[in-house]
Amino acid sequence: MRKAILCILALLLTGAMLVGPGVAAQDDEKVTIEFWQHESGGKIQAMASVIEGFNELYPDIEVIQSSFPYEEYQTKIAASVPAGTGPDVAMIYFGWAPLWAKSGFIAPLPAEVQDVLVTEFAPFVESTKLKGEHYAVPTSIRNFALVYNVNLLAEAGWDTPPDTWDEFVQAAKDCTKYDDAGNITQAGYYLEWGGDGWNWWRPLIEAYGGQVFSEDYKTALWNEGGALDAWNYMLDFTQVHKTSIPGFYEGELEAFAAGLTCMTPQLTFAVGFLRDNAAPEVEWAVAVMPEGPAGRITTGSSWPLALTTKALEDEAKLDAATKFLLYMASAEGQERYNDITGELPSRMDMVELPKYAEDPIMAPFIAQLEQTTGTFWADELAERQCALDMYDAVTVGGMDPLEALNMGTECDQAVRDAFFADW
Amino acid sequence: MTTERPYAGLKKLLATRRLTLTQRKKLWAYIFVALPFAYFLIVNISAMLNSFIFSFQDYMTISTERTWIGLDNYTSTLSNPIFHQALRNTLVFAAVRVPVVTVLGLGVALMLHNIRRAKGFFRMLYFIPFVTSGVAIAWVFKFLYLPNFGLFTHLFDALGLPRQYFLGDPRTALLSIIAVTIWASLGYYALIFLAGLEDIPVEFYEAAMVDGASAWQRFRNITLPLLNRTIVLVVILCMISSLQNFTFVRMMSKDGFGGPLNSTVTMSLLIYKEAFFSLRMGGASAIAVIFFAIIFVLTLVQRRLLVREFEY
Repeated sequence: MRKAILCILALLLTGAMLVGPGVAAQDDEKVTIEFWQHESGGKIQAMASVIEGFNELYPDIEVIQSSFPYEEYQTKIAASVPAGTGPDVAMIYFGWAPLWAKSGFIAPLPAEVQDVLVTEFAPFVESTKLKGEHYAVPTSIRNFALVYNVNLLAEAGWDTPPDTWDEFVQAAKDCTKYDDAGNITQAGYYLEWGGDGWNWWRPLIEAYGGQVFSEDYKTALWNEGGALDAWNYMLDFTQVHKTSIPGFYEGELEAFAAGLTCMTPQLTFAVGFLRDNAAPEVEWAVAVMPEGPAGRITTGSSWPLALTTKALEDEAKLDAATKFLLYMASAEGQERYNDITGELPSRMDMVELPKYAEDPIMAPFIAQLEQTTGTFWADELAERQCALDMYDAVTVGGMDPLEALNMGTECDQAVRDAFFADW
Repeated sequence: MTTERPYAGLKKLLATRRLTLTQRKKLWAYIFVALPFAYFLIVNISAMLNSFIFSFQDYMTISTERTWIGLDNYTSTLSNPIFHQALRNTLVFAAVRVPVVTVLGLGVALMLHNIRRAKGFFRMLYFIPFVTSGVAIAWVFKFLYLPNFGLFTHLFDALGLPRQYFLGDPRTALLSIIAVTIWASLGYYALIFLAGLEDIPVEFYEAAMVDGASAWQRFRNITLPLLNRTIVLVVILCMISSLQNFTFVRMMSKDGFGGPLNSTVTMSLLIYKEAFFSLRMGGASAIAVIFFAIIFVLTLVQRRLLVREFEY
């Protein structure tokens, strides 16, 4: 009996010795790359699905996904850099790309990935192009469309949503309700400047024939030509038309979901929020953004994937990261991601897929992909602050609108000058 | 078989050294103190020293490159109007919050000290806000402060007062945040005062009452002097927490970074914004060093001005 057991053990040991090196060799060949992102919506599950699809094609590449709360994301990245750890591929906000590229944290995408962006993606990707190079692969695109409350607009005499910016003002006025003391109880349109207001003010500048920045991105043109009309248009909601007061509610989208506002320009992201959170009585629909004198223009944002300079230090990792980014840019990668987040892919060949094009909610967003512009941010946070301060200077500081606009333009110009001075 | 404790070797070593019992006790005490001290040295002091070094460097937070630039970060910080605004706001924050918290905290403590029934319940009631998450409190108050639908707006309407834009108006935003921090921390400081009050011997009050001293005279001549050390402690703790306040301004200020028009930007918030959002670690470190110096000086001055020795 004892001999039999010893024989079995010897056989097992021999087998293990034969198989062992094989397994070890396989592990040695496996390349591991680190992927970091922040936690938001369905991003973790969406990227897990992308990684799963990627591993079906490349089982020899392991992608380790790490997620951090949004508040901690930049802190974690900052801590990882001096330690020489951190991601090979990171999800970033598209507006961070220039500053992060300037700091040397992210690198230009490999040529084969850039080729796909140039030939297959919506023009929006130009906004993360720096010095002729692309730095980020969009996971999805978020562009603006007009979300409206069907019943409230109908009550106000609007059976169809406004089609021009002039009609938008009229509809907002018709839909606003006040109590006996003159306080707003229902806002036709609630403008939260620091929320989405200042974001759709930029395409509005173009819809009025102006330009937000010069072609080389170096000059702020907020106070020239059509930009002046767009600025006054935005201010009039609170200053003249009284369809809105600052701080009417905590969030434009939240106010709309609660049935307190009639219309709100919103990014694609809002669709998922409203499906989950809109009050039962809120019957909502989506239309394309209204048209201005110079056309119908919208803007977009994105949380794309960028290659970090850390990945460049190891050829095998760089090759693996390139394959991963190419997969993210493929139709399959885009579909896997957006099926979970409920957003739109930014590959132009996908927008005609029936599941996007025939969806009455998504169709208006898709219809505007060609007109979706992006903004090149030298320092998104600082430039946002300039815009916020100039708006507050008028609405709560009592400053003359033109003076405030000039102040904001100068502030933004200083940010751009500082950015381009040494880069 | 006996299991040897991890420090048994050390114990043996100490025993063979022929130390007296007192010396051995002292040595053990130093060994125990050494561990947290090492932690403090590595985690706190090294971070402070690093920050001091960064303040002389051009250092973008997510960059591996750093270059020495001398005092440039200090000169640009001192000429930045937002830094001056942040410093002013921080000092206003402390100047308003510290006296209000001290007076109200002492008042609440006196009431809690003198009640006879449900003492524990009332103490708990005042202490609950302190153990509640600051983030949760901030969010609730943001809704209470809403200028159109908030509870305070309804109260103002009921009282016939004009509506306020609380957090959205540069004139009221900082005060609105300070009010919440006072509410949230009052119980904590009241508890410290309560401990101080309970340390005062009852015989002093009894003797004073026999001598015919009024309630005010007893408070003025017994309670206040004997609470001096507690008052100093409360003032210093409250001042430091006011100067360092971050959670409430981050959560409640319009746009989260000290708006509107920088009316609620504080030093801590500015350091955080500079370091992790504007990615200027060098500049943020310079602000942190200046801020450290200010807190250090203020604490020394406070101690010098407030500490009084009383012997009875």
